[in-house]
Amino acid sequence: MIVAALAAAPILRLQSHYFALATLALASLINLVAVHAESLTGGANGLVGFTAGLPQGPILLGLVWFCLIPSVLAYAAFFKGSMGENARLLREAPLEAATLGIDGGLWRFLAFVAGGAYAGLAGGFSAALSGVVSPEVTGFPVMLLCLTSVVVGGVRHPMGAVLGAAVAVCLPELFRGLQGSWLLAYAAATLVVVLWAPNGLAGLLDRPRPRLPPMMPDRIAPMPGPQRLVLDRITKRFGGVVALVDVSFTLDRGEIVGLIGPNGSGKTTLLNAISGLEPADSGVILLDVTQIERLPPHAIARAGIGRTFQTPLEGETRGAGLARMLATDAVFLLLDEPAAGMTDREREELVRLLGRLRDAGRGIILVDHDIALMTRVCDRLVCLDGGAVIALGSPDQVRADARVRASFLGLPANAA
Amino acid sequence: MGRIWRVLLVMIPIVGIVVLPPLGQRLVTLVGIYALLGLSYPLRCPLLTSAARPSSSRSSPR
Repeated sequence: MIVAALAAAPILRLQSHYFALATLALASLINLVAVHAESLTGGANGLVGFTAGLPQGPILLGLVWFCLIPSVLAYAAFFKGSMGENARLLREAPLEAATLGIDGGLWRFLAFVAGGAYAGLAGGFSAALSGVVSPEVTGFPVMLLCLTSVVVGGVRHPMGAVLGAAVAVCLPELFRGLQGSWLLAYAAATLVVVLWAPNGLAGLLDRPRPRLPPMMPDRIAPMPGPQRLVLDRITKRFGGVVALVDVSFTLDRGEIVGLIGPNGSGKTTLLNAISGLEPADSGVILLDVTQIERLPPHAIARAGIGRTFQTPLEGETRGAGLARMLATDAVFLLLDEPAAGMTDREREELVRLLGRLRDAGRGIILVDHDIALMTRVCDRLVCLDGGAVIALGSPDQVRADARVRASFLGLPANAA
Repeated sequence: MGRIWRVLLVMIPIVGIVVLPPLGQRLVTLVGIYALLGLSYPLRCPLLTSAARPSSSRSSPR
């Protein structure tokens, strides 16, 4: 656990497969040290003859399972509740998790250290059982066996680790006649599970629970918090491309401001800058008098700014992101094309929901390409083009603006 | 986790201690050790994602 905590700082800065490669490299490093530091580790032969005072037989069995059973039950309880939902969201949509106030860095650190604690516990029991501490246990084959056994058992099921372990332990015994070829049988079993049972053996045995559609609240209660969101000369560049140029406007509680503009005009980039996902290069963002433009996304979310994204998570119904955000304490909502892909009936429900949110004192920045919808629900419109604000005012004023007509609406610059 | 799973979880070590011979007990112990090791993997699943902050140098305005 201590080693995991020390290793976490550099390794957790890496992403995705780079993280996996770094953990493999760390294990290889430990293996090299174990082989070459003979005076400390016994070298390639390892340490033997230390089991005299350690529990054996049924006592060791009882001790192992005494640690395992509460761990599995705690795991099940953890992933069943809201904490588990947070963990799943962090895994499947880390950006959305950050904009809901989930501190991904802290979660990753705690998960890494907790994982190290379990691995250390297992290592101690393994030494007591075998009577040997050998560098072999840090080798790639052992790591691969552990990983694939969990995949076979079911990564997302509390009993997956137990079922996978049973398969990994029993298969060599069942196929003892095949001698070394039992690995072929194990590889075949792994392939079958990965292809036809992605939730593992535990997923096959458990009945899947139907997913409930997201519940939109009928009434939205007023909420204390900041009264005004101020954007002052927000500028953002990506290399030589200027995405936002001195964008300034305000959003008050109980107001819906629509953000319109052609593709690539910087609408989503502006929402990313406000929510901290892509911090602005210059400019100031204020919640009342508090500057937030340098805060991380989870801190901005906790300060009262919620965010939805254009693309819903796999398997989610429409509006799930919106429903999830409404469950937070956000008073200012950044909605990125929430009506995309909705039916007419769903759009009507969305319009009613936006009205209820406004009546309850939420401030909303709404991005959408449907100018009729925007005109209907927004109090003001802001039109971006080339990252700059080209028009700001009431929907009628903005729609009548010559530059908006030319760049966004595709109409003659002069209104008839 | 359903009741059947919980019963199975508790019954495995009991059967191992009460019924099985020493070799069977050793296998049940090994299953428990591998399971403890395996539990660390799903805990680390949140790590197998990209970090929450996107890389600005690769992004483009939308």
